[in-house]
Amino acid sequence: MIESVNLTKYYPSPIKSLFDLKSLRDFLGKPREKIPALIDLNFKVKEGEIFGLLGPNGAGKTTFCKIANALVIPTRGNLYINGYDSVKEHDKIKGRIFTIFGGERDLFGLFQWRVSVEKNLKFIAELWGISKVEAEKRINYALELLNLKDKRNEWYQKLSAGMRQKVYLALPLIIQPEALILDEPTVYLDVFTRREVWNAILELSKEFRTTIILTTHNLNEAEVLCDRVLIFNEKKIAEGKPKELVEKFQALKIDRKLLIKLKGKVEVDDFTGITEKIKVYTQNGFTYLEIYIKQDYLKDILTVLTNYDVIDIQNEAVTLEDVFAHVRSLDSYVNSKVGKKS
Amino acid sequence: MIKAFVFIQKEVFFSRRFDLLLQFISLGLNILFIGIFAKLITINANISQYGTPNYLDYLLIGSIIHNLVFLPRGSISSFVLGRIFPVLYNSPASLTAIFIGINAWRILWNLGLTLIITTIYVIFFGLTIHLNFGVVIVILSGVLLIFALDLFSAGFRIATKATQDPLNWFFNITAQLVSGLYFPPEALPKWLQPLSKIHPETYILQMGRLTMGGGYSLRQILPDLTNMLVITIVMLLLGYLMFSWGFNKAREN
Repeated sequence: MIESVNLTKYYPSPIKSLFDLKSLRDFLGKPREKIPALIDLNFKVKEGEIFGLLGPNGAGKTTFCKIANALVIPTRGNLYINGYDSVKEHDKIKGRIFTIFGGERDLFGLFQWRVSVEKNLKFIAELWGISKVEAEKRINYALELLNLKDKRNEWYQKLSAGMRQKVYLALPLIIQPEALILDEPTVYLDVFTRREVWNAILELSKEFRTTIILTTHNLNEAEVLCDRVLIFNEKKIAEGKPKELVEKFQALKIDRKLLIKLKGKVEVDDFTGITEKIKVYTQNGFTYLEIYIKQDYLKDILTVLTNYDVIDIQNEAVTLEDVFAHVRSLDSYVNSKVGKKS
Repeated sequence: MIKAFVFIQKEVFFSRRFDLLLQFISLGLNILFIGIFAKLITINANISQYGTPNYLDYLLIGSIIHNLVFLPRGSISSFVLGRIFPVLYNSPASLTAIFIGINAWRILWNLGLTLIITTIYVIFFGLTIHLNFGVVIVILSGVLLIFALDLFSAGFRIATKATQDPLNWFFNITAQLVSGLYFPPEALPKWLQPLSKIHPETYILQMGRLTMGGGYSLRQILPDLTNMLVITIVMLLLGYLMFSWGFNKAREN
């Protein structure tokens, strides 16, 4: 179980140079301006649950992961992993928690580049005190699950970036920690590899009851994997099951997207007062309209469309991505997806 | 666990065959140049006071002692600032075991090289060495002192997030210039001699030459050794405090 209680982190503003007197004085003790990274983050994750932490760049996701690993000391509040404070009682959780810092490629330094995948994995297994026979069994299982069996004897350096990340993700399958923190684990992966990794994450939760915290930008990933998600940007914005959040925000009449295929020219002025977010383009002789509207305007849009030779209407369901954009009140985000009025 | 580190580091090391070849070539050239240099140079100083019969022995023993005591230099910084640290910090292994493991292969390899160098010096350059308990204690206390300085330097680097290592760099460069590594300290200009007197490596080299070169016993060097041990203990304490401060400062900032 993982519990975050009022977890807060402020970083002091960076020092420009130790060679100027003012900065040196600041470094030696004068209080510096505080930059918030996390503010009163509260949540609880049950054993075997996959919990998503969703937030934009700079929301504090990596700070959270570093606190979980005792690499950053929180300003106030606590993060408990299986009842132990992640920083103050770090010794008691050593070996029981594992973190994959997927967004920071530097951490691939864990593996030796000129050594085979198998030897690298055996080395880590030995560090975690896993017996040789058990390690062999777990390595076989992990390589099989991640479709890496034919890469077993390859030097790590000869693998593609995606393959290397998969090897990194084989580690929790071998170590089988009680708690696993995945910091943007699929950030560099193609769609096929991403699905293999998703399977591995689901397997960890299902088979080994590993408590998993997943930080991601990929909302589709959160929808597929997470039992519950928390949307935050330094502070908590919303928390719940992905489906519930989508339904909740659907009820709040968030913008829904319609894709309309029709014949002939479109007068954008016809849609004035119904929506501002409209994009028109032609493809293969057809005109396509992409519009974002509120639920209330659905009738009006259908009335306007009676003047056109409509071939098809697709109503795209509200996704977690829409929820994310909505709760952050990022109109610019939606607009950037729609494009300028044409 | 340390065995696992040694095994994987050995794999990496021997996978770079060309690097290995270059290392042996540079080692051979090094031995040759130092040997020739020592034979050609005449130093106007009383070499026998250092326990070595001639300048060749003075230089070669100095270089062996320097290589040995400097083995742990940079080991803590490279571990804590290295890319592997964040993951290993949460492994069930203790930090001490990981630290030893990470440096084990490098230290073993360099010990092996120093042994080869010493054998070559003895066979081809007629170097006379004495191996007694005093030699071991001097080298061990020297290693501890360098380790303490490295601990101090690592604390500074972690706190300031410096990519360079100015303290170790300063200590190493002054060690080569003023401690009597290549020539006796009295050959230095008068204004530089006080720096030689406060440099710990001066005393490490002096005691190392007396025991290894002159065959002095532990009892004969005890007063100087006691002074150095006191300095070492103080430096270890300071190093530990600096490292703890730096590590916590980095985690706060």
